[in-house]
Amino acid sequence: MYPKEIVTAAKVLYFFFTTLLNKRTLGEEFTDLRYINRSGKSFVQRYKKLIFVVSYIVGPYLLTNIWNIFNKRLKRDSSNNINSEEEMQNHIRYRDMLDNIVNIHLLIFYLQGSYYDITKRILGMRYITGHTISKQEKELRETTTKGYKLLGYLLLFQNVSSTYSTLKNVLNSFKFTSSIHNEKHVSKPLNLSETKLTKNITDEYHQNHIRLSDETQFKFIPSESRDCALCLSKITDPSVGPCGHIFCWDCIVDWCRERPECPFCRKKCEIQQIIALK
Amino acid sequence: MSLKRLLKEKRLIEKELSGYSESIELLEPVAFENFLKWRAVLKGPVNTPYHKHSFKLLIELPSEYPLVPPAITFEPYSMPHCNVEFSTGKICLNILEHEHWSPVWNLMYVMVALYQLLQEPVVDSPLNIDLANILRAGDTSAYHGLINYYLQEDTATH
Repeated sequence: MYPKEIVTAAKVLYFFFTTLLNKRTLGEEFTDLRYINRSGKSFVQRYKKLIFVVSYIVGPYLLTNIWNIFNKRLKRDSSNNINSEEEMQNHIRYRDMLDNIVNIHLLIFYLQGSYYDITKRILGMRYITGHTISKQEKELRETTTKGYKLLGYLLLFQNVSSTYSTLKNVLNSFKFTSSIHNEKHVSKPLNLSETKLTKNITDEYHQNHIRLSDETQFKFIPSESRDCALCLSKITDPSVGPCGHIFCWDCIVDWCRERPECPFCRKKCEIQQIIALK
Repeated sequence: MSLKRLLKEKRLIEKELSGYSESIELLEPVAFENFLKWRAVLKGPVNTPYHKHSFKLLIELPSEYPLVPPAITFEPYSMPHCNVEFSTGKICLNILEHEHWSPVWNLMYVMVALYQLLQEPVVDSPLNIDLANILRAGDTSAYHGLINYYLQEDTATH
């Protein structure tokens, strides 16, 4: 019924009985880790742990819900508000920005090796091992650290190049909008309503049915195989049984209700075996 | 489904019929407003006793066509053939039976199959037992004579 809610509740319970009661989670116990504060001189206060648990578990749940509501409202508005298309773009940019922050955080983690979660970084919740490190473990740590650093540099390179290209785009769009600004104002309302209208019609035509009379659909089907042998028209919603012969969905389903076999090769074909190509 | 398909079939037949002038003389709906009733005329194949005769067929298409086969008969009392009941014109041909029919076949295909039946009578599933017995006994002159007798009588009375 409420899968998301149940998962969230389970996580809250888990962290309540572990982190909040100053016990360790399974992973922390396995790796023998404890929380300490940023300076590394004392344990982390409980209120910080509480903030961490709430933001780590309930935070994403609330955020996605708010995000969805916000999105719906935006869509509703966009039907009677022309400007909202620009708003939508700002909105998308905003999300990109959040993504970037997460990326940069991850990058620092890979290079530096502390604070895997953003909230932990903000609250200063670091880990300390509860035992002295043996020579073998030290070697292992050094090799894995190298791997993560390499990953960090790759991420850095990716981020730098993508930022560069978006910056370039933004600069270009600035030039573009300023030069055609006047012209745009006159023609825009009319064009928009027109494209929306025709778009709706074609969307309905294409979304509800796949028609092989449209040559851009399923280009790999040769022209001599695009007719349905049952209705003798171009295939609508191409569908196949186990043998691979193609018919319209309606035609082959009707026939298999009459007799469950392929009309061409008579191979057994129950209705539930028919697959509509998408 | 059936009407749209029959319209398509009709167009195809109009296009292709000239290519079958040796075997099929006519294949068309009886009336333009009723596509569920068709008529056809087959020519008698050479090297058979049917040569130089033609045979009328009555075709009734059920509304479920092509999911069920067309009902086809020769005109009653017109067709002396091993696999045709003389008094009714009923045809014994497996592709016209419910359990053997396939919806990818069409009227043209059925006509070709019937033409082949005129060329090669099947003595093992007869509807005209007398003719089948004579043919099975290998008495070709009696076989030809009997068919000629029926066909001449037929042309004489009509």
